[in-house]
Order: sequence, then C-alpha cells, then structure tokens
Amino acid sequence: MTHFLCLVYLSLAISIVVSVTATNDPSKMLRRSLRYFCFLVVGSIAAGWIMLLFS
Amino acid sequence: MKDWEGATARTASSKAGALFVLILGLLVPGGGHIYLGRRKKAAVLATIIIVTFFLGIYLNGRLYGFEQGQSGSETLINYIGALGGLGNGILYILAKASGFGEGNIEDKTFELGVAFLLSSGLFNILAAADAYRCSVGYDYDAAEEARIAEKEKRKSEKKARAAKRQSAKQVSK
Repeated sequence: MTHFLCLVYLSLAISIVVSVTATNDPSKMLRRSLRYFCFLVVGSIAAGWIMLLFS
Repeated sequence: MKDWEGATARTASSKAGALFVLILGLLVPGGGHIYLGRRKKAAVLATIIIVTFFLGIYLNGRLYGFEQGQSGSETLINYIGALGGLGNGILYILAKASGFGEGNIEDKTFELGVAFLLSSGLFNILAAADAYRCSVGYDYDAAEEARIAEKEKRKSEKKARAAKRQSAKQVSK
C-alpha cells in the first residue's frame, strides 16, 4: 500500500512539475498534467505487472 | 496566449540577471519564479518540491554526500546521489547541517525515501531551468508550434521516402 501511494504521489508530482514548467497557459497545464498523470499511473502499473509476469 | 501570471510577470534585463535567476532558482525552490513575479508558478513548484523533500526525509531516505565509498562503484553512486541531492539547494544544506537525511538502509521505506529526495532535487533543477527560460523571454507557444511543424515535416518526408521505395519496387517487378 505504501508503495502504491508513493507511486500515485510521485506520478502526480512529476505530472504537475513537468506540465507547469512546459507552458504558461493554465488550461494547457491542467490538460497536460491530467494526461501525464494517467499515462504515468497506468504505465507504472502495466510495467509492474509485466515484471511480475517475468519474475 | 493566456498567461497564468498576468501583469506581474517580467523578464530579466540582462544576461547576468538571467544567470542570477537561475542560481536563485537552484538555491531556493521557486525563488527564480518569485523574482520574476510569477508567484503562482513559484507557489506550485515550491510546495511540490518541499513536500517531496520532507516526505523523503520522513521515509528515512539518505541524502548522499561527496564521500569515498569502499569500492569505486559505491563512490560513483555517492557522487551521483550527492549531485541529485544538491539540486535541492538550501534544503539540502539545511538538512545536512542539522543532521537529517542520514537514512537507515534497514528500513523498508529507505529506497522510497531516496527516490523522493532525488526526485525533489531534480524537480528543483527543472524549476530553475524554467525560471531561466522565463527570464530570457522564452516563447512557449512559438516553440511548441515549431516542434509540431518539425514533427509533421519529418512525417511527410518519411511518407515520401516510403512512396518512392514502393514505386521503385514496382518498377523492378
């Protein structure tokens, strides 16, 4: 559970920092951060699941 | 383009000023943006960097220093970790000076703590680089448009090459 919460927090933090530093337009920031967040969480879960399959 | 900061945002007057913004941003999380009048951006970035840093300390992560290890690879890891940690600027110096960030390798959250501390350092470097970009008057929209145009140009070139190959194949048949 701790690891999952950390994954969610780090994904959120990465998506916000990257989107805030990539543009000055607030609507673009929001759209980008949501997209990056979904991508990071789904990607991390998929990567973890694949690693579990091969271990 | 709609600017988040409105009228308060400004740019640095000289190259030395832009360099000052970069150094200030590296030392203080969000400092470069505050200097440029971008208070909202500074607040968001500083909050994330500081929360991530303190979570890293709370999770028993280690702030690496420039120390010699028992082997070459350990020394290399220490140096890379120290560079990542130094990205936190004043937070790194204060935590080191007050004895925080020693870390306990036997703790199950040690790895997470190190990941958080290094992430916050890298976030701060990214924030400082963005402050520098803002200080030299970087145009985000123009850069994005140029990037998209370049991508489309490459795509059309690839298509043209593929069509050329296809026609060459048909001729040889």
